[in-house]
Amino acid sequence: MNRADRPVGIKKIGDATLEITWEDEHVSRYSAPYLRQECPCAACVDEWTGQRRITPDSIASDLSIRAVDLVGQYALNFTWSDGHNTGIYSFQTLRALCPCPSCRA
Amino acid sequence: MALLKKSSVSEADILKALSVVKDPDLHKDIVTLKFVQNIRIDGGAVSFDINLTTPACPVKERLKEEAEQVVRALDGVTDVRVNLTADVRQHAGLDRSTLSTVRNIVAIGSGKGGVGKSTVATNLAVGLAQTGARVGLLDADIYGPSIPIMMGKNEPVELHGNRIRPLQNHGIKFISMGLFVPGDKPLIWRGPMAHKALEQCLFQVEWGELDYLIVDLPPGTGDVHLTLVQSVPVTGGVIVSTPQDVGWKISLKTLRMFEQTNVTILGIIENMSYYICRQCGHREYIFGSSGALNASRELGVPFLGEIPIDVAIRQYADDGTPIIAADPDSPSAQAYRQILGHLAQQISIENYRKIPLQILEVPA
Repeated sequence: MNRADRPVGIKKIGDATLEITWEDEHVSRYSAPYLRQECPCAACVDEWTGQRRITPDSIASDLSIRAVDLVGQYALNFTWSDGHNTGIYSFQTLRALCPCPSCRA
Repeated sequence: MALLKKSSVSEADILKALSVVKDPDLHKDIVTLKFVQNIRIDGGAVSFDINLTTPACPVKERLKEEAEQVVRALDGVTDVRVNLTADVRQHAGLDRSTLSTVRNIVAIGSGKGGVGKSTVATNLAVGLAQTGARVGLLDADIYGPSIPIMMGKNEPVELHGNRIRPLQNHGIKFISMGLFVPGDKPLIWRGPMAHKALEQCLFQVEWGELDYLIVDLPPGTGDVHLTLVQSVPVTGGVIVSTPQDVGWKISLKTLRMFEQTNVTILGIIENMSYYICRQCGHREYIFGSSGALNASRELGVPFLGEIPIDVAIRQYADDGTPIIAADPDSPSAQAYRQILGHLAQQISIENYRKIPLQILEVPA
């Protein structure tokens, strides 16, 4: 695992924000609806085509994180306020999803 | 008139003297590491404990000697007694898991089958126990569970309510997925069943207090591996390879799998490295030498050692007593002991290095 994919701090801020500080000191902040939309589980992404099966408008803008747990030492698992909980977000995936302007550029 | 008794040495003097003794693995002195405990001063007689991170520490005698020397050199010291103790540190996160009484979980994997992974796992487990550690061995190889045979105990497991009592032999506790089905019946399991069976072996077995739980994985990469790394914080993974599959880069896949799931590679062990001629003692490197050593250098992971092809290893395994217990002075047993020392060192280093990962909840 790359240094950039290794978290040193994970914070759930309020009900709808997640913040990860990475080993390279970069800080990523995610909103709950954004992460929910990017869910990598087999129900949300077609296993064969890789096509996303959920649309952004199907996710409530006030969606929140009911629970967040570590999966072993490599990923996070969320339970969202809509009840969905099958996504395992590896740290690699989370780093790639960082929404900050410099990562999106 | 009696001679004035020399003022006796103080605890501070002793600690100062000992602060030059360094742990070669953690690169810190034994005072800073809080290894020095229970200092007792009785006139010129000094005694103290050095509390190591593993009873399998390969440099413990050297540390003891060094500590003895520096304290003996102090003014007013006439006698030094150093007591070596060990307290295996717990891997970050395990204390908060369902396996809170287990200090470390070590996964043994291989790129392909037939490399002797289970023989290696069994000998390392029994050898670690010989040093005084509390050891458990979980045979998670659903395709060819062989550990009950090598451990010399192949009896059905006893259920107590929903708890399973592990079998015990050669100083360790062990359980095998093979104990749940009769010997000649194959395990034809889909993923979810393998997943369930491993969870049972982890969480329903009465492991009790363990310093090391060694998990013998099935060869390759798959369901059992994923279940393990998703269910518990694993201290690290060990790859067993032969000179052949190192050459074929098959072991590399297992290594990448550990990496992808953020499991530290504790090292590579090369099995069947060379053949020792029974007649003349000559070492023949049948498959070429130093394959795994070179690969580990290239990959930047520790090389834990090599084990010879030895008829005796196979014979003792078939007879149910690992060679490390059956013939502890044999060259093969010595090779195993050297490797388990290196492994225990790597585990200690990993636990020292690792910052526990946890999720903080703060108000918006």
